[in-house]
Amino acid sequence: MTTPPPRMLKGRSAEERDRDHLRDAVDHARHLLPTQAPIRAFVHHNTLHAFEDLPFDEAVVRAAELLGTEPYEREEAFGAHLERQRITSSDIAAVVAAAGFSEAPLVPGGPSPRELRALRLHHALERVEGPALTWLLEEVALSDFHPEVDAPARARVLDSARRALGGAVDARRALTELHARLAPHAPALPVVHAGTRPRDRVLASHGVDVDEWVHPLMYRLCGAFLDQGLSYWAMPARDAGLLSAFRALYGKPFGPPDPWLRGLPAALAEAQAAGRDAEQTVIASLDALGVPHARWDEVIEATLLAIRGWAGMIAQLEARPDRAPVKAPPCRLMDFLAVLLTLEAQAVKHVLRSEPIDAAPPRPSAPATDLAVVYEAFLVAQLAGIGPAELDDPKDARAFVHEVAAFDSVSRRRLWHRAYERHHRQHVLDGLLAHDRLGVPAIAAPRAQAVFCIDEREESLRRHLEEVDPTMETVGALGFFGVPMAYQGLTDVKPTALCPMAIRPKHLVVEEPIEEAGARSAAARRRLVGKVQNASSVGSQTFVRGGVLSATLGLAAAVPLVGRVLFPRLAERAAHAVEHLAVGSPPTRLRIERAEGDDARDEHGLLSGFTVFEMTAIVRRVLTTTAIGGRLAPLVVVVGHGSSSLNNPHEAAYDCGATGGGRGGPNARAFCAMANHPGVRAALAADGPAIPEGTWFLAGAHDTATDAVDWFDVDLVPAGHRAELARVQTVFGTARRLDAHERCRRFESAPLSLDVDRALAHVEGRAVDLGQPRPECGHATNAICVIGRRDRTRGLFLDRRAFLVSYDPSGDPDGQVLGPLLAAVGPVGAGINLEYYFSFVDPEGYGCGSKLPHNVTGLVGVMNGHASDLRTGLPWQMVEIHEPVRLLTIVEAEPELLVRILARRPGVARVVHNQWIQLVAWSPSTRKMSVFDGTRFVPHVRDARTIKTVATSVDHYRGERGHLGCARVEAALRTGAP
Amino acid sequence: MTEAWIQVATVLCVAAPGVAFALIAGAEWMRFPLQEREVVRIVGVCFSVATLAVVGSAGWMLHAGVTEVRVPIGDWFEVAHHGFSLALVLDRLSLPFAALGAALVGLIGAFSQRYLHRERGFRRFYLLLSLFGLGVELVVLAGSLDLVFFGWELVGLTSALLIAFFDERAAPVRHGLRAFLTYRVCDLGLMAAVVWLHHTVSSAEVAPHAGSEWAGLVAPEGALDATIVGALLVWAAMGKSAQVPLGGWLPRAMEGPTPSSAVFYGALSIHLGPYLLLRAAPILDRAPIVAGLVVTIGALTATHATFVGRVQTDIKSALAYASMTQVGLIFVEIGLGFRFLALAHIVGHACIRTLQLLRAPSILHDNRHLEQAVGSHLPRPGGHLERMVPRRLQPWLYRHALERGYFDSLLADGILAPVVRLLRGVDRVERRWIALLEGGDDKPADEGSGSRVAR
Amino acid sequence: MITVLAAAAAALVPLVTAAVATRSATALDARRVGTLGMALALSCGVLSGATSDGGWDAMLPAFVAAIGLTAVSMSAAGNATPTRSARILLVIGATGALVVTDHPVALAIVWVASILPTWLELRARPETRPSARAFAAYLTPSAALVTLGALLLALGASPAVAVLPLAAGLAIREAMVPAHSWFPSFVEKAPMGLVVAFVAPQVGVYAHLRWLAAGLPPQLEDVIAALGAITVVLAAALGAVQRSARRALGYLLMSQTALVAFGLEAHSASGRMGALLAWLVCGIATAGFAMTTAALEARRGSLSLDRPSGSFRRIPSLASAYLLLGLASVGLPGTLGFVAEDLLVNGTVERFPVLGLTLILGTGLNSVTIVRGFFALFTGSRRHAGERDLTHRERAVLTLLVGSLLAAGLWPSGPIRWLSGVRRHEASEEAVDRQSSRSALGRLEPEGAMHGAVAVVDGDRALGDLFDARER
Repeated sequence: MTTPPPRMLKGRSAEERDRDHLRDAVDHARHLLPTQAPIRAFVHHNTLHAFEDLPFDEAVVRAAELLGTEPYEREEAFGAHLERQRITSSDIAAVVAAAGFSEAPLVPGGPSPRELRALRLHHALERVEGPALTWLLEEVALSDFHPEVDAPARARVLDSARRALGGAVDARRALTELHARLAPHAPALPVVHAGTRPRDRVLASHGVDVDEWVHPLMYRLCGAFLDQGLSYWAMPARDAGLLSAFRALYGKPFGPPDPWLRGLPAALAEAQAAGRDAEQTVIASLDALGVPHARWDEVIEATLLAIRGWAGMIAQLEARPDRAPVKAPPCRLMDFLAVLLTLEAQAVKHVLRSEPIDAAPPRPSAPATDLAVVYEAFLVAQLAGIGPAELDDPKDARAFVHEVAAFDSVSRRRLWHRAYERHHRQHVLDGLLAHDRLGVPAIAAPRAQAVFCIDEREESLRRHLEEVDPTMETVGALGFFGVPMAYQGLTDVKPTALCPMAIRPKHLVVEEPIEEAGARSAAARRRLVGKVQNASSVGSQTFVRGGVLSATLGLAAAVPLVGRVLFPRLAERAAHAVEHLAVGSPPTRLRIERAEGDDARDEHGLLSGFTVFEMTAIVRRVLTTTAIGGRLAPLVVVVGHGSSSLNNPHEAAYDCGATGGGRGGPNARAFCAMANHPGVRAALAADGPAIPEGTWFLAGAHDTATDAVDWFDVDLVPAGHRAELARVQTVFGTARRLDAHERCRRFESAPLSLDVDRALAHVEGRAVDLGQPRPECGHATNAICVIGRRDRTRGLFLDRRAFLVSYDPSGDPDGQVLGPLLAAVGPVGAGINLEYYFSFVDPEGYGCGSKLPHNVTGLVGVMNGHASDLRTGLPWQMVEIHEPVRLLTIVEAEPELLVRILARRPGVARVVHNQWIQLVAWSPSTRKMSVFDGTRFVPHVRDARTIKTVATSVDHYRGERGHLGCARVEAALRTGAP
Repeated sequence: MTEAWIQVATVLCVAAPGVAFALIAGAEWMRFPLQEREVVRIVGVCFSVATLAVVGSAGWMLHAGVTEVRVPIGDWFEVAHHGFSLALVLDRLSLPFAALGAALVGLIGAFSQRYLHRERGFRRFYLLLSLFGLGVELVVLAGSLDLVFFGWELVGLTSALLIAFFDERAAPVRHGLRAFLTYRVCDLGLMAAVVWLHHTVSSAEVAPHAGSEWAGLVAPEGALDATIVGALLVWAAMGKSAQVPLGGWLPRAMEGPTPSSAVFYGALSIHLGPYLLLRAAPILDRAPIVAGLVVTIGALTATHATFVGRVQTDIKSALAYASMTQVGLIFVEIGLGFRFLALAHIVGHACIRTLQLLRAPSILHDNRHLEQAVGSHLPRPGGHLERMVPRRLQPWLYRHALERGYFDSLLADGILAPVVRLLRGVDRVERRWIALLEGGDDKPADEGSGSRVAR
Repeated sequence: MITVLAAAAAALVPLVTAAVATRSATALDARRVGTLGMALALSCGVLSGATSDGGWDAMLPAFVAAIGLTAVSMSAAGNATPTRSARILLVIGATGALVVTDHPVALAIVWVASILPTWLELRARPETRPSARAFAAYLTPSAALVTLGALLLALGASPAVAVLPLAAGLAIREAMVPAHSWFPSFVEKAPMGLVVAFVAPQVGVYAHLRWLAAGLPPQLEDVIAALGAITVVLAAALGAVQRSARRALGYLLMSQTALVAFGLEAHSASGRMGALLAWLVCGIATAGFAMTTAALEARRGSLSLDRPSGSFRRIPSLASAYLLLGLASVGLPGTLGFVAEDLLVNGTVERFPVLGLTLILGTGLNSVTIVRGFFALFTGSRRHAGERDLTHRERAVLTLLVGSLLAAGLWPSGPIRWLSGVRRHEASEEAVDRQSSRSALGRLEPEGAMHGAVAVVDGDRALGDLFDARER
């Protein structure tokens, strides 16, 4: 089929060059693959991380072309936004004006390009094409005006038709004439490029999609290769890598009888005999497929992207084998590609050889001209009220059609998206400014302080705490509380990293029982229970044991079945109680301190704990960044967060992003242990910020699904703080109920009439319900990030939408604190926000679709249904209430300072300059805001100057399901200070 | 009086699901969108009524020591000597099935309210679920094989449509069609059995049978006829219960939403094959060859499925093959005549598997929980298999299991493809002939030419 | 009296409507006129049936009118002309006249009259002109043979002689193997409204009952039955592997038609009742099914079954109607089709044990064709080009069809009693002149007196008597 490539004649150096070329091509493709880790260690990241070098608008379009996805929401979604006034006329006017289009009339008596665009953006018209369009014109559209055309426009069209045709005309005649004027000017349809892969050529010529043969086999192979313990019998020989295992299995004769696989054993045996490694196999396969050298890059890229879920997982485990749930087999993307291309070569060879009786090639049925655009122009003309008379001159008609065509779907959606974001931005910024203008009294001396993660889900809990106890100050810090550790809990099998993704932890913190003996017997009991459970679940799937089990004890399963289905909360409590009774939970402490100079590392290369010096640095950094160092209350609670739920393979995605998809409780606990450490206090007393004698740090963990708050090491609290602790716990008890209540308004299945106690029961029930695909809303509401003093936002209802980062600009004139803070918060916030953006705008292309058909495979990911590519991104149930706006990041800092910081920090600057987030500077001195427009800060112009004032949050959200605007909550402002 | 009450209760088992279906379907066609709550309430009430009716009847029958209740409703239609008699039979065989059917469909209805909340096909799911419930109740309570066929068809159709529930992706649709094709091919067996029974014993009724635990089909006198009918019934049961070599659709059927997979392939639909064979006990008794066939098929299936299941790396396929293994065992039990054991096995297996399928999405959670309890990564259970199988054979056996015994390929490429090729050849001849008649000046649209041109 | 007049009106109204329709300005207007006319014709047909005494032929005017209503009102306006609507109405009018006629020569005339407009319409457009040639190549001999047979009957020749040309003529029109080749290609290429009007009423069955029921020699009956069974299975198998929905529909119709013809040869009351029901069910269901396919085709262009192409989400009603009507025609439980199939299979297995079982295979394959079509056309892809769901007009017609099939399917004994002519026979026991008690519609054979001696006791026997006296 192919002539021998010239390089065969050039000897060894040519082969080396080929290999280099191949490696480059694979590495280029590698960075386009999804970077999602095994699903248990899910961490949010920008889905289009690989495109961050491009401006947002350009990147989404490029990625959409490459990946076959949607850059923005679909047009009908924008139509719905228009309908419910989520996008208003003023938003459209503003974005069209900002985009700068010509204002000269397009046709005599007609609109200017700018007016035309504004008009078009008021109507989301469905694109109708092909026979559907013919049908529509014949049956409906030429007989009557489009329903969205208003009466004056109708009159103008009829009048125009009267002028053009003379005499009385009815709607049908006018419209038919109008359409006839436009129809000859249909623009040419853009040429659709056939793909570059050999598979695409075969599909075009033979109508056979070889991916439908090759990919299912790849799914099976990769599933077996990567399996972390789901299957009973592990793939033989996988320790030598995918390619070797594949050859060992499929190189043997008498393989699968599928006709296209007949030549496989021989081919594999030959490759084995020739001792070809993965790279040589890829090169040989590319040659066999007739791919010229010059097109290796694009073909490899397209081939890998066609099965990007599994390819991405292999690439991930190649880079980070430590993130495998159990133990990663030796993953190499090159192996994967070698297997893939070997199979593809077999399949293509088979198709080309066999007589293609069974397949007709898809006939190119596309017409040469785009009549759908004519129809669109026809509707736009109706909407604009121009008729046959205005379009009498074919030149004008042509110009009109082409102007309509020029404003294509992507351009429209880009502007709509800006309008959509603008609407949100205006409301938030105006709300913040109005709230600030009315003034927020400072807390003179807080009785207690509560440090939370910046997570937007903690916004409501913080607000409710402040409403219940206005003298409590809440603080937002990144939820790993500065403790970059690997952590192994009492029952954990191996340590997990609890710190932002960018950091590789060097220190191990272990949770230990206080009492060895009791703990050991509890562990033994737990192990027994676990073994019985494991044996029964494995056994029921086998032959003999399964038969005996199901025939004898099977009926007993009816009890948990009925319980789990009808009374999930009760069933979980019962199961929990039984387990607690059988096992118990012994008290523990963290082993956190390492002696100075002890540099012993364990098998993972981890140091055991932190030295006092390291601990001091951690505590100091947090106290300085959040600026509470100088005014610590007697009791400071530090609350990490996580989320627990059933029926949820994506459970880790609900956990704390700042701990790298873990639960932040242990970090809070470690931080408090450090801050309470006498050595640390002594060191801080020397260098500042000093921790007063009477201050105690107490750690807690907040479960964002059940709204439970657990406290750690309560027994260590000094006697003097007990009363205050009891009071704070009561406040938390009330606040978490209110928090549950506020969350319930977003769940359609929770009646709006729930009271606070039943609301708590409701959220507890959700988390343990096997049938509940929405245990909580996750980050679905995230939209805002405020970096600044809590005094600017205290008492402001932000609807669980804002990351709240505590930062005091007054002590940071040259951005020494703000710079690192931005660098740390930026990636976490933008990662979460953009992952939600993409999974929302294209739930199938970027997200992983509905979670209902998800099928956990190999404990590393989910497939759709029986077998499919690994699905990456977020499930629809997780994102469905999201508003896809780029994170509106408001920093309390002078614009000039921000510009200086951006110049110093290229990582943040890239995200800001390319507009992956919206950056707003809120000047501490002038209290004015300015919005970064890609090149500079532009003053924000206010739409509204007032803000709704309510007594409590409940008054604002009661009876509401949707997103809510800002409101000023009086209850949180009664601080007792002037 | 009690008699009348029990008869009403029996009819309710069938009528209530029918009402649920009719209400939802009517509202859908009339484009009257029912709220999710209303749909669930309809299904919940109807299946609760059905469940209560069965349980009440069971209680009464236990109390009164009655082992069989027969409810003749009369002829549905009758022409000459052929009548389609509507009769329901509640006995020790149909009772557990009817109870299981009504209760599980009701439970799944309650479960899916949360699971399918806000899903686009919410009402479609409940529509098909209640139609399926109706089908199951008809099959198990039927007093004649004609009525069994009625319900059997409904079960098959709803099964295929629910596999294709996520209708915008190609794979579920393909697998739905595959299941439907298997069902139809095997339904021919059932229909033929009905006809043959009418032909030979002029009745396909479920009649009391001496020496048997429950009522059964009337066996034809001749051993040959009995063997024919028995073989046809086994053929019908093989499709519905995914026996070797036709079971390839079962793991693929996991494309549907989890609750429907649980109730169809964990609990009800998959066990209808054994049910049919239990009803046909008199025929199996008369035709030992058929009984032997049932044992062989069951044993083959169980062995095949247990091997294949052991290498599956996704939870749903693993559970599908686990189901197949147990149903194969149940076939063996039936063939060997352990009928009460088979019945107990069915009920127990249905409960276990439904629960496991419902828990399938929580496997990561459960797995972590177990790991924490055991205190280490879970031990790989396959060790003894690896020890038992000689090392040299392992790759072969593993590949065989990973490729699911090659059955799919053998059926598709070995049987289906040649038939399709032949038929398309016939069709091409037809086209050529018509093209000839139409006159040479017009180009005939020969379907084969396109590809050749493209070459 | 009302019965006769209403039946005549049901045949005449379409013809008048056709005349009005040709004068319409646009295809939309012609369709509106045609729909109103056919609705009126349907009312007349129902009135005629309701006032009659029952019997197998009592509902035929309504049956034909219902098919006509479906064909006319569901045709898309796309590239249609008023002339086409008029020709469809002409075919329906001729068919309506055919089912109330029993004189052989009159029958032969309307027989030819129903073929001509079809041929003219095929000739009218360049893209179907070749099809017109193939159509003529088959149906000209068919018409000639039927005319010959009718003349022989009218001239008093022995039925045994006359039936041969008649049977041959009918076999061609009913697309029995091996005279079937024109049929799939006709369905594939002709306008769907015309196909439905021409094919769905299955006038061959009527002619069969009128002329052949009594006169066929047993060997010929066996041949017809065998050919019917072969056609059922072959067409069903070919339908199941098609790539084009239109051609698959052609084979499906062919298979279903042959099913009826096969059942008619079974010498048992239940087999014949099954065939009769299958005739009505297939007529109504396939008319609706074909027009639903046409409605989709008008919205989407040519329909390929190769790749899933659907958007169930956007056109749920159209999709549901497609599935329901399709499955109803092949015996979905709960519709009349199930009853028909049950009776048909059980009734024929007595005389043709093996052939009877092949029917099961045929219907099984047909249901695969339908479900495959449903999946390929409405599911499997997110593609959507802006197709609209059913219009009010289409929905109303389909509701009527589906509703009647479901109602009759859940309560089949009513229609069965009606078709058995129970009321008629109850009345006739007291009638002095039995001949007159059978309405003008009800004369069965040219030599109706042949059965004069048969005492009518109950419905079943009356039914047997309708078709054949030889059995007893």
